[in-house]
Amino acid sequence: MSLDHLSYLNIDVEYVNRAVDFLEAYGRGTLEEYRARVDERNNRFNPVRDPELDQPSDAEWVMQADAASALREAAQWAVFLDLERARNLLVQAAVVYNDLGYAFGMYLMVVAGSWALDPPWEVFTRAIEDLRTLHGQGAESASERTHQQELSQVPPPMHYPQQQAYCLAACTGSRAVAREFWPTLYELARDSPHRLGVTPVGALGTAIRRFWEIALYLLPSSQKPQVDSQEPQVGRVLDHLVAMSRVYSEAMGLASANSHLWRHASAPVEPADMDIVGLTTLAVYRFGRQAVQQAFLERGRDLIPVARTPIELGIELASPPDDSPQGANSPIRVE
Amino acid sequence: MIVQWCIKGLSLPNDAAAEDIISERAGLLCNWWRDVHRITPPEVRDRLTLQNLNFHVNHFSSINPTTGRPFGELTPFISLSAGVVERDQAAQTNNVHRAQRTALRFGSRFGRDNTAYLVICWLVVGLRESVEIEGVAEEVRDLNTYRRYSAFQTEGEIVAKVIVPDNQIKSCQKWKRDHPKQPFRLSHTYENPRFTQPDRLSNIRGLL
Repeated sequence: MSLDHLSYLNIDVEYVNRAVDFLEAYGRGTLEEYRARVDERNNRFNPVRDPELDQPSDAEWVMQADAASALREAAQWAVFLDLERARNLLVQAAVVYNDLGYAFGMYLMVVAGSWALDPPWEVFTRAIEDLRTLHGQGAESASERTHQQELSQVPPPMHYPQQQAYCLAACTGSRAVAREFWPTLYELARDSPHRLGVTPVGALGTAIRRFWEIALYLLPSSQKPQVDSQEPQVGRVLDHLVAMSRVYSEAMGLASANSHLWRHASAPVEPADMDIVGLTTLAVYRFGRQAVQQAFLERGRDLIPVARTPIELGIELASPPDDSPQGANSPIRVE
Repeated sequence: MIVQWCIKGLSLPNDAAAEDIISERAGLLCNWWRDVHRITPPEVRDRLTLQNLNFHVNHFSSINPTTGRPFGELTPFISLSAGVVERDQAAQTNNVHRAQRTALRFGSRFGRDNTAYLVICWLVVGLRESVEIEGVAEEVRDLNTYRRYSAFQTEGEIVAKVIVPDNQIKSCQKWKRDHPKQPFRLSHTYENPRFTQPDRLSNIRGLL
């Protein structure tokens, strides 16, 4: 029960409710402010059609990013109270992140939206091509000039390793995309320097190597003849998630020292950390709820209740909506 | 040093209290000054310490064993929000927030109230830790405490010391919403006729 998690965290449900309402309303209001500003810019009389005047301003970017962040923060609180509302908020945030060119938006749409089963192919095709370009794959036969031109076409946020990690997780976490692009994704996941990388990702500063390994093991197994470890993939994924949960637990403990912010659900941490929650949800989509729960049971025995929170929330979030064509309880079967 | 625009979110009993912030010309006072009504320079020197700053930032509502009262009630510091809006950081953390969001949250008592007052002002911020220097504000994001449990400092918190002078306050805004599920909207602005623009501190000299 998610309310039990709030109890373990010692945060009052009333404050969480207020936080969700405030942040959702703020996000919505900021988007309205953004759209009004864009309309004003588009309607401005510009007879010379000076492209400089038509460019989005920094203020517009800030409004979009602020709104996306607020909606995401609202969603991570809503996970404790109302999973459907949490999914809706994550999808709203994802739309804005996608508009900003952040692969984090793709990740959220696979976790909470329809992209796990019904991905927009042009988006994923382009994203995978961007990943290949950034990793210099397919560039051997191209001239340096062509490669530089291709690099300049990649959205600026994707140049950051963190966004590449979310992009890869979104690709391998979507069943249809994983099947369709398996060879390319496997090569990216296996050969990228990020597989050994230590670049911090997310609020907990997780080393990118963990994200990269999880994404690798979310790929269908029957097309991976050279898996190094003999352990089932679900076990390897849970090894990483449990390690992340230990860091999460310490972070929550330190943050709660500021009882003023903590009690009011306003400490600068995310109790429903969307990295752990989201990756757990993707694991349930891939392996099935039972397999994930069993692997968690085996590996998370010594975790205190607070540390168990994000993985347990991720499992709950993966409950399928009523109209989903495939349940989150059935693992991927490669035909 | 840099000049930083900041917002202080306040929960006030009524519009008259908001107008008083401007009309009484006292500036924004720290809770300690407001509590004891009269302070002296030696007392100020004694209170501007790293330990007290740590108590203010991390243990605001914890009881000070010396006074028997929460640290926050007698703090010589004033927290304001500067926002977190850097593109590099945003791509790494997916997190951006304007100072307005934090100020509204605090000003509405974490979403409890339907009215919040936002004080818009500027501060001179030191680039290094300088807690003993009264005239320079601190960037809390540089405190080690936050770095240990959050890879990103989401608050964008700036801490002023003892007072935000009257002529550094541009205005006090009233924000309202009709319902807890509605966004706050700007309702009224009380401008400060004595406001001094910070560009007077600029080190850019024009051509003569």
